Amino acid sequence: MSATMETIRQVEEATGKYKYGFVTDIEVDKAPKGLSEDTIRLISAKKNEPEWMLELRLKAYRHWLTMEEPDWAKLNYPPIDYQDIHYYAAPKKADGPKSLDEVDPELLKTYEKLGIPLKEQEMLAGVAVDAVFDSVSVATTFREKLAEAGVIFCPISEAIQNHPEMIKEYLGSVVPHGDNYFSALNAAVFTDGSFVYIPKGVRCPMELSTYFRINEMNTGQFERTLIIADEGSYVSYLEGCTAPQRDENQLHAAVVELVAMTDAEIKYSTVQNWYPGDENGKGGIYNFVTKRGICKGDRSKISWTQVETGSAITWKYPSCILMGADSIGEFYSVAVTNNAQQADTGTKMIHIGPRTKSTIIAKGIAAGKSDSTYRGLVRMMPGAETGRNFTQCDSLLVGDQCGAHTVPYIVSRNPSARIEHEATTSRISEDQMFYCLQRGMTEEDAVSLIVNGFCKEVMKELPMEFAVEAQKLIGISLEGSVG
Amino acid sequence: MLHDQLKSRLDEGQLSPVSKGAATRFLEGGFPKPQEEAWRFTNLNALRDRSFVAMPDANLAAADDLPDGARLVFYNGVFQAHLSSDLPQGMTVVPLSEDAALAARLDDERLSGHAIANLSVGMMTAGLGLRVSGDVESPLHVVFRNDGADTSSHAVLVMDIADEASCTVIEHHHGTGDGLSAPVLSITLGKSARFNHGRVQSEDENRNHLAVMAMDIAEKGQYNALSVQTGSALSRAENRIALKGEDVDLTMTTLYLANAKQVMDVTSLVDHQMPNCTSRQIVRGVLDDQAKGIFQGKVIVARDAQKTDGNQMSRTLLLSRKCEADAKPELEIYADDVACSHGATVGEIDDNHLFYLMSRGISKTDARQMLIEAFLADVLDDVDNEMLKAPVEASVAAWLKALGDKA
Amino acid sequence: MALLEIKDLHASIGDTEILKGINLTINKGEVHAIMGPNGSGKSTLSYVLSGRDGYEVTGGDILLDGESILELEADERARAGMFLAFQYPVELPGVGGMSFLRGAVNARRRDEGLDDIDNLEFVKMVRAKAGALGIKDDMLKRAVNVGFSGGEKKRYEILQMAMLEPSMAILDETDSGLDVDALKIVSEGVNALRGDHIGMLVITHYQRLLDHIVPDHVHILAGGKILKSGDKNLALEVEKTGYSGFIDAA
Repeated sequence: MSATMETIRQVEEATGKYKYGFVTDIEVDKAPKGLSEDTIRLISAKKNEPEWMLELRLKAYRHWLTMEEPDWAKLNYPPIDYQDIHYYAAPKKADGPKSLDEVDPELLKTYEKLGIPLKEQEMLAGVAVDAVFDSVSVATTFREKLAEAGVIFCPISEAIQNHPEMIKEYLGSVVPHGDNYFSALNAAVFTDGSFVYIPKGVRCPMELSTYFRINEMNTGQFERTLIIADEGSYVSYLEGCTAPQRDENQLHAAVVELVAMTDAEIKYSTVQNWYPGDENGKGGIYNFVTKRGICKGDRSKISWTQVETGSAITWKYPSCILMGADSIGEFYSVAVTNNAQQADTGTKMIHIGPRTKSTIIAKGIAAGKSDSTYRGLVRMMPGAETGRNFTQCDSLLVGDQCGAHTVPYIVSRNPSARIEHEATTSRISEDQMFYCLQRGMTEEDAVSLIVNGFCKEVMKELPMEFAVEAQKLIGISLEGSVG
Repeated sequence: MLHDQLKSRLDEGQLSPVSKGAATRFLEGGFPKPQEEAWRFTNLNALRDRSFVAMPDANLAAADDLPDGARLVFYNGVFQAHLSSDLPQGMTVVPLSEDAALAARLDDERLSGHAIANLSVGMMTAGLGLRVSGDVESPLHVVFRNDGADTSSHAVLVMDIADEASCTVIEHHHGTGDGLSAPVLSITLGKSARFNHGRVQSEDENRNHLAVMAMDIAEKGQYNALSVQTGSALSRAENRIALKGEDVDLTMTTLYLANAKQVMDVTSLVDHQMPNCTSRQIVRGVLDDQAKGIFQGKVIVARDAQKTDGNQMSRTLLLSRKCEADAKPELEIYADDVACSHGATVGEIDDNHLFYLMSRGISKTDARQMLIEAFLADVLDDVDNEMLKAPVEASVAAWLKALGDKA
Repeated sequence: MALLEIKDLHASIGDTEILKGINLTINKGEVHAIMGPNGSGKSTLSYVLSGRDGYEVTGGDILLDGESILELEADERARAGMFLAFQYPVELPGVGGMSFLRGAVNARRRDEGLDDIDNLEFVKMVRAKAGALGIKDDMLKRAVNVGFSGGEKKRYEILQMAMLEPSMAILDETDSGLDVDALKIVSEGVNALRGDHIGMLVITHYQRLLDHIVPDHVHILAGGKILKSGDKNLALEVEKTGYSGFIDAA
């Protein structure tokens, strides 16, 4: 059975409850709760980091202390106690496995439960995986084959040791630590994540993939990802996330930075399925993520595709800075909220260079008592000669206790640029439901089918392996929303 | 200074409770700051440091260019009975100080939560109430005349349009000097009432103009508005409308035309609180030179407002390399059986259109002018109320003529 | 045992009674036609039989294979063998035709305790049946009913009927919106599905459909009641005299 089939089977087995809600029992090395310069020194020491890295962290931390948590998003949640979180948790045996054989078998079992059988993937699927468990990267598959192509795909903690020149140049170059409250926090305490470098002219021979998993109680996850696509290169990167079912809320504040040089293309796909909390809104992940890419070179392209079904709170705006002439930014998003979930997500397209183009297709589906907000900015700078943006935001309401909102910001400072924004809100019509029921489908199958149809323009942007899983996830997360 | 004036008015203890509350709130908060989401595109910092003085005793002896027909005249924010005409059958005016019920409308959250409204209600000296009943055929012109450097005008008008009544009211805002005009309107539209509302803002290029209107519309009410603004250095026209009964029908067409270094802001809130209502908002902006145009439009559909048909379309035409267009059309929807949409476009004149006209022998300058006119005529053609259309068309024509003369 | 038994069926929409006591028995292998003027309750009957929400049965019973189906939801009735070819098939944007058909076929198979259909076998089956109805591959790839012409929609309904192999098929005004050629193709498709394993109820306003799908029994429905029943000649009578004659007589 291929890894893909394995994944599909496992998702199918899900009973409609959150299927990733198990806890793995392994020995863990944890920092005490709380955030201080000492915590940061401890993290840096655990990672054996050079002095300059510690300095960067402390600088970010000191800046963070002066900042206020943003409150402009349409989100309601109790104040986060930043001193009640463990900022470092690592599986005990995980200091630098050389191959999968050295990885704790308990961990490997966890990944199998998650539908990412690393070994099988390595052998069959041709997807290279970096798996981040709580805070530490535990296994990166397929490294040798990638190394042949000159591709670097490794935990970022390793890159700090082995490729300091690139880290120094690019880390924080797209998302500076002072960018926002959560990026500052991340820059201070990030523990691991992935680093990717694609050399000039190389088309990465396989999809790269990271799975994130929060396991420990009261643990925050602060991963950091940096992807650099050098001139004329191409990479497709996939990211998946899960967490156990817990009554407390857990914090996830990641930062992802993408750099695309001349003629390079980065395709970044996310299927986000953090634990969303229960029917009454108890528990669930607070997901505050800063993702931004820069199209640095001419004709470069960055494409974000996201399917967001998890998290109690989602605060996320994957963005593109279109600096190179003729560069292209894309954002394809499906955000499904059910029960008490709240999502405030969208994108920013900053057009700087001439003839830059951006496309935004956002589909929001709200069910239960949830709220789903699209928030996006399109900015045409004076140099964005004949820049083009097209934005389409569609909302679908399932039931009459939810809310769907659209908040686009449009700023144009170049007359030759053209911006078009369209938004609609609708629901599943009774006619559509009855038509499907009359063909023998159950209500839940019918809703899933119609919603997936509604999202089709986005789903087709996902790599095949992910598309199937994402489709099932959408169905699962809407269960219980009708009837 | 406005702050000192407000303070001494408070200290004198002569203010009505409504004005007292408003003055207190403004003194606490002052002018809105750019950090406030509602003011993110329009920066009032320049006003904060100015030493405006309100003129509670303003009196204009005579004016020879007032519109014919029924009219009410405000001068520097103060009602001028001697310049106003007799009102048609069905319309009566009353000083707000003598009509507590009308004055209380100013306590509405949409005004008491708005800094500029608080400023003007706090400064109010001769606020006016206008009651309308029955069908009033002929239009009423409300003239807001302002002048003076560093002066500020705080006209307050509360209208009550009774159940089943109908009327046409056209506001004319014009002033000279670099003062501040901050008119506040509160309007209640009764059941099955019909209100045609025109508005022309053509203040001089140095003036500042910040208008706020709050309106409630009851069951089966019909509201039809057409407005244009071409004046002021810094301006904002803000409408906050609540649809409080079923089967309300609302159509608002708004034009804003800016050049030089004008900053022009159109902000609207349409709050669908009840089922089966229709709202259509059409916004067209033309920006030239270094002008900055802002459109913020929010449509809320409450949980109970099923079968809402709400749409909003904003289009902005940029004529120069240095202008800026900002837009924030917003949908906030809590009901599932609705058909809501909005659209926004920003761009320059379509090259294909220009080429088509030129290929027929029309000069580039003329072709451009024709296309700009067409951009506006497109929406004006859909307005069938001639009483509203005439003054707005005149204002648009004047602006276009100036544009043509320049080219 | 009769396939479908409708016994003194009364049904309302809101406070308005539309069906006022319908009695009708259909056996396997039979094709019944219900004819009636606009507003007679024809479409209501098809919705009540297939279990659409909003139609309340206030009296009587509907038996399928001897069991009352009144308590069954629309999808349960469908899986029990009831099929409705819609007068106005609804568009499902983004929902691919193949996945829709597969979903419907598998829903039934799961009910019967069968595994999901093999993908290859499924595709072959759809192609074969679609080909017979003149449905091109391209149409199967498109979203369900989106951008289909009137004729395409109706052919697509018949394709679904062929795929789902119902025991009781209701064809609601299948002729509406069809030109002569399309009518012929659709009718041929329906006729090919006739047989001892299936009962059909053809609902129509006009006689012309019945030239192509020749019924065994014809019933005149007006004012929520069956006024007269007969053989196919009754339809010809309607064609000649119109409905008014029957209504006046009743």
